[in-house]
Formats: sequence, structure tokens, C-alpha cells
Amino acid sequence: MLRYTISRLLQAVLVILVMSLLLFMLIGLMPGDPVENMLEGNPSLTPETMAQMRALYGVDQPIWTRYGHWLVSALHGDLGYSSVYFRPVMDVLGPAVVQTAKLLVLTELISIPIAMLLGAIAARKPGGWTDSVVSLFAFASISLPGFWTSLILIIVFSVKLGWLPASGTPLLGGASLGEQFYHLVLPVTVLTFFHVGPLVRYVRASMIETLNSDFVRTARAKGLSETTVVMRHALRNALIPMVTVLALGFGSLFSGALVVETIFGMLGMGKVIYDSISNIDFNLALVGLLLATIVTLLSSLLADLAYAWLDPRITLK
Amino acid sequence: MSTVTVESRPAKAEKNSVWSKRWDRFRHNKLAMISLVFLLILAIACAMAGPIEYFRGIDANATNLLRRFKPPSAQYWLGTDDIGRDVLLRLLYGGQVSIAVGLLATLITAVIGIAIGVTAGYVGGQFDNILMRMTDCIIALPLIPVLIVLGAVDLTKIGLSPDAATSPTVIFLRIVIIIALVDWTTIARIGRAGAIGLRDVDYVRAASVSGAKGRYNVFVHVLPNIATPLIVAMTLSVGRIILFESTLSFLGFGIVPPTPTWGNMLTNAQQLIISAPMLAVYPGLLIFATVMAVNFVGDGVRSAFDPRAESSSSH
Repeated sequence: MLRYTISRLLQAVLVILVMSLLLFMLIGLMPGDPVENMLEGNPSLTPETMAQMRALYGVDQPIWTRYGHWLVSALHGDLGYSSVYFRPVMDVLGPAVVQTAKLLVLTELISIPIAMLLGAIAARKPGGWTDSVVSLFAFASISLPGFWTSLILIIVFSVKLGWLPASGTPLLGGASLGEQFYHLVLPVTVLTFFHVGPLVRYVRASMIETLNSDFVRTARAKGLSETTVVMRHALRNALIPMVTVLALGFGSLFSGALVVETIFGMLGMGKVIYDSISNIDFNLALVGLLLATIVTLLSSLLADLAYAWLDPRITLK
Repeated sequence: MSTVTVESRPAKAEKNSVWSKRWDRFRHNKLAMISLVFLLILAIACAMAGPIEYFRGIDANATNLLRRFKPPSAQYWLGTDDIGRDVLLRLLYGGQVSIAVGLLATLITAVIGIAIGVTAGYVGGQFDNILMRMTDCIIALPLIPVLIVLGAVDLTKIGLSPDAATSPTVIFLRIVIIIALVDWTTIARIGRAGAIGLRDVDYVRAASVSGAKGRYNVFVHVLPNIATPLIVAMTLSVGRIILFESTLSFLGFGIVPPTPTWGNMLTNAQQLIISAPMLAVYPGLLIFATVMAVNFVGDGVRSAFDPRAESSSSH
């Protein structure tokens, strides 16, 4: 187990390094360059001073040198300044991470029980009418464009009924916790609906497999009630593969968060990344994307380790 | 009389072929059939956008501020948008783009996926390891942010002339390619599994011993054997890609106006939510219905091709 953990960790570090290089090159392909974007619209600027500024910031260097410099300072904790916010990128990303974490944690807390319940109900009689209804729901969930669901919910609940705010965060800072939750209702609803479909399908598939296994037959043969068999024996074991599914779903959940945050105007990671790319804020876009990538990679690493820990048969292979 | 019986024999054999059995099973799946018919009608309607425009004497791109936000009428069946364009025509033209992106990107996805997957499975060893780690990474990535960066790439920086970089064709191809670049992983896994499963099967070994090259084995033995999961994966991929395209276009990093797509028709809709909520309803409803129908067809194909899988798992 220790060897497995260490080798997976080393792999993850390598992958993160490669990803940082790839992202660095990609971000470099956005229009303009940092100096040009910073000084754009300054009429007193001559091409010579522009070249001097470029040399000063090292923008004229080849990409490998620039990446090397960036990596060295990044490892020393200096991730650069945001050209839009005029602040160190970590100062911008810090609060954004908290905002997105709130959104995603709430979504998971609501999605997982719903998915477990629906998946378990559907798996009890595959092909039955409850199964069909649940599967229809799952299909709707994976087919709905999240941005459209957001718009429709805003039209219905904010514009027509006036029950809920159309923005994801209170306008004034220092709003009470209740106020914050009130603003999160619509965004969390959209994300939950987006997230729960694939989860339900996995729980269902995994439950069907577990319900057909020997230990469930034994539990039934012992005369245990159906609820005990399903809830205590089968569901618990069916949840092991869920760990992986949750982690793999993180990337897509984050994508959903980007859309939802953009529509509901919440300054989370997704919206910051979106804005930074729209405004060609090189440093912020790079670090934001890298952070999102690292979190997803780490979550899938954690899932693998958790899986191996929960199901010792994995490491035996 | 005897000639009749002789003639009817091949017909009977035809009816029992794998494909006719599959079609038979598919045909009895109501949801899948309704979806298929819906998709066909939609495709035909979208393809007819040009003739409809011509015969109704409306220019799909002509703006007219005097006829903004017209309600549905005999002339404008679904009304007009914020700058006076006919909504129905724009929906049909938008459908052309969305469907074309979905189909073309799926095709490219399949080619990339099969090439990478089958090679990895066939060659095996360290090569396979590296390729599969790569797939794992891409699967774990938050794709929308990555697609946005790819959509923001300045094409003049990779050697295109400024004119070419902003031409509608290039913008269309750009979105097709960037989506294909991130979406090949599912198909790669299927290709790999197929290649690994067949590498050590006796008839493939026999073929190799009798001098068959790797490429021959791939086309004759591997591909036909993974046809079922491949077709299902490709169908589902069309739906997913239409969603990707609409999301990207909505966010302003996909197909850009004046070319309409279901996604970019919704970009303005958010500002107009109070004055014209219906403008936000139609395009999204079409995306939803199309993707849902594609997914139902995919699911129908899955159970029609592999009736055994029906009751066990379905992910």
C-alpha cells in the first residue's frame, strides 16, 4: 500500500508538471502579450519603449526560458500579478476558492443522498416502472444544458414569481449566513440537477451488481428484512465504486460550476477563470486553470487510494 | 410452386441476419423510435432553412429595429428577436451548425480515439501505460475551462493570416477540432479494450502466424468486434458534443455571431430575460430535445445490439 501510494504521488507530481507546461504554452497563445495588453491604448508609447518593456519583463525570451523563470518563481511562492485586478493572483483566487468550495460542497451534500436513494430504488426492480422513471430523470439530467436550466429557473423563480434572487451572492459584503444560503438556492439547484444524473446511473449499475452477489443472497436467506438487505448490506458495498465516480465527476462538476457562476455572477474559481480568459489576464488564467487541474488530479488520486483502502482486492492485483 | 419456395429461402435468411434482428429490437423501443423520427424531422427542417427563407421572402440576417420583439404571427411564426430577425429561421440555421459540429466532431473523435486506443492495446507495455495515463488526465480535467482557453487561442500565433483566422469556416473548424481534442478518451478506451481482448485470441494469432500484418488484424478482426460499443459511444458523443458546442458558444468562445447557433442565441437572452423571456426558451428547448433524443437513440442502439446487457449494467 505504501509503495503504491508513493508511486501514485510521484506520478501525480510529474503529471502536474507536464500540465503546467502545457497550460503555459496554451495561455501564451491567447491574443497579444502581457506587455502589449498592459500598455495598450497609451498613445505616448513608441515601439522602442515597448521593446524595452518586453525585455524588462522577459516577454521577448523563448518559451522554454519563460517557463523556466515562471516555474522557479512559482516554486518560490511568487505566482505573479493579475493585470486586471492589480493584485497578486493568489489574493484574487483565495476568496474565489472559498466561494466555489461552498457551492460544490453544498451540491455534493445534496446530490449524493439523492443519487443513492434513486439508484437504490431503481436497482430493486430493473425494468420496472420506478426504474423507468428514474432513468428518464437521469437522461434529462445529462441532456440539459446547465446554462439554459439556469436561465429558465431565473425566469420562473426570480422574474415571474420573485421568490429567489437571480444572483448567486448578496450584493453587499458581510451578509448573514442565511442570506448567503438564500442566494445559493438557485445555483445549487442547477448544479445538483446537472450532477445527479450520472451519479444515479452509477449507483444503479453498482447496486444491481451487488444485489446479485452471494453475500446479499446469504443475507436474504438469513431472513433479514428487505430494507436491511438493501440499505445495510448492498448499498454499503455498492458505494465503494462511487468513490471513484465522485472523484472523476469532479472535473465535470467544476465545468458546471464555471457556467453557473458566470450566469449567477458569483466570483468563484470558474467565473474568475472565465473572466481572466475573456480579459486576457495571463497570470490569473494560468494559475486559476492550474489550480483547478491540480484539484481534479488530486481528487482522482485520492479516489484511487481510497478505493484501494476500501477494497483490498485492488492492491492484490 | 417449387420455384416459389426456392425464392423465399434467401429472403428468410435475410430476415434472420444480425442486422435485421437488431433493427427489429430497435423498432420496438418506443422511446428510441420517437427520438429517431424527431431527429430526422429536425434534420430535414434545418436543412430546409435556405428554401424556407427564400419562399417566405424573409432574410434571416436582416435586422430591422422597427420590428423588434414581434410576437408570433403568420409571417414570423415564432416572432422576432431583439434586432428584428426571424427567430424560427435563426433556430433552423443554428440547428445546421449545431448538428454539423456534433457529427463532424464525433467523426474526428472516433478516428483519434480508435487510432490511439487500438495502438495502445495492440502495442501494450510502456507505450500503453503512457497513453492510458494521458487519457486518465484528460478525463479528470475540467473540460469547459480547458475548451475556453482553446477557444481563446489566437490563430495568427500559430501561423494563420488575420483574414483566415476570423473567417466563419475556420471558426467552425476550430470548434470542431478543439472539441475532438478533448473528447476522444471514451472511444480510445473502447478501442484499447477491443484490441487487448483480441490480441491473444486464437483466430487473431492464427492470422498473425499466417502472415497477417497488424493493420490487417485491426481492420478485419478488432474493429468489427468493437462495432457495438463504438456505435453506442459515438451516438452518445454526438449529444455531449452538441452540449459542449452550445455551452462554448453561449459563453462567447465558440461560434460567434452573426452565424447563429443554439448556444449563442442564448448569450443575449440573459439580458432580455424580462422583456422577452421566450427568446431564452426556444434555443435551449431545442438543445435539450435534440440531446435527449440522441441519448435515447444511443440507449436504444445499445439494448438492440446487445440484448444481454439490457438488465445488468448501463453506464
